[in-house]
Amino acid sequence: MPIIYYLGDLLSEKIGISTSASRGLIKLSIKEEFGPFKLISDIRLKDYQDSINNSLKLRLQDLKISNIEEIVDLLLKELITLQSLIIMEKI
Amino acid sequence: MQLTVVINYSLQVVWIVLQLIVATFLSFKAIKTKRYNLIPLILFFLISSLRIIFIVIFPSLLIIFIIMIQFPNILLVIFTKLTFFKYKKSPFKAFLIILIIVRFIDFVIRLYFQISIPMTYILPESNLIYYHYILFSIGISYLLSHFWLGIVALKYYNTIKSANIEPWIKKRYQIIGLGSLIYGFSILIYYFIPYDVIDISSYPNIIYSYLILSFTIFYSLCMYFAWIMPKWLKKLFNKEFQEFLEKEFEENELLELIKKELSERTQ
Repeated sequence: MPIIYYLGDLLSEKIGISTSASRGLIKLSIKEEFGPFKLISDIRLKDYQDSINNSLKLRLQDLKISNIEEIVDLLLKELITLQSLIIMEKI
Repeated sequence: MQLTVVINYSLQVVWIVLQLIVATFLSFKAIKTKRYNLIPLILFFLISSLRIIFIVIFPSLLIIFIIMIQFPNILLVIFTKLTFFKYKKSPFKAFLIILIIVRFIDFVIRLYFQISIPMTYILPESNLIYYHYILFSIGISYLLSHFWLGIVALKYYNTIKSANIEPWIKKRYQIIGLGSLIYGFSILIYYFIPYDVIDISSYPNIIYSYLILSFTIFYSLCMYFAWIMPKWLKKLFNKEFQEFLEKEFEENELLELIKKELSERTQ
């Protein structure tokens, strides 16, 4: 999922963990938000927004990351900018 | 039947079939993937192609045809908004309002003065302003729909060009962008068609008609390859792409890894 790759790279850069770990964290947040039965490929823009705003934010708080609001805002902003990827990668 | 007319009809069939295939393919994909923002694009291809079939079968129902031609550009603008600018500032509302007003006046003029390009009857000089309005209407419609989509798609292609994303996805943006922009430029041809030469098969209208058809086929091919990208083409674009197979972590394993990486960072 290119959008997860892209956001994962950004998160990795912001909190200083590996890209595979940051992508894993995003995927985990999506699973947490929507349960294990919703495929990542079925996730839509609003679902990504909810996952970042809710479960990813909580995960970052648990990991005691600083500047969480700034990181979440940046991820949401990039997500909105690249929203078309959600369609382009799926068709 | 004249050879030129046969060629003209054959070329029409090519782009109509291409656009119908794209519309059918996208309809299946929209249902399967629940990507309902594809609906305006599906309707754009459907109405654009079916209106020609409609007028050939029902030439007397001209009013329905004139209604049909008002919608495709509006639908394309809605698709661009839903795909690229959801929850984001854009000129969408202004474009939509302009298009609705321009196309409504277009509808009224076509209905009352039977204006078409090329003309099907000798237009009195006093009504020339209406012919120019139809030219303006086509121009503004292409500008706000095809040009807008083309520029936006190419802008996003440039944004993701260096990102670690499969090249075929990047190419999809590029093909949509270039195809839409080049097709948008074909609007200029309409301005060369003389208003006082009637019938599509007479000179020079036939030349302009072939040119417009060539651009339409080119655009339809671009949309075909962009949306229904065959596997061989995807493989070709991805030839030098190293796919990164990522390890799928269990929750505990992942959190341990992140904690370890964060503590290493602070040390």
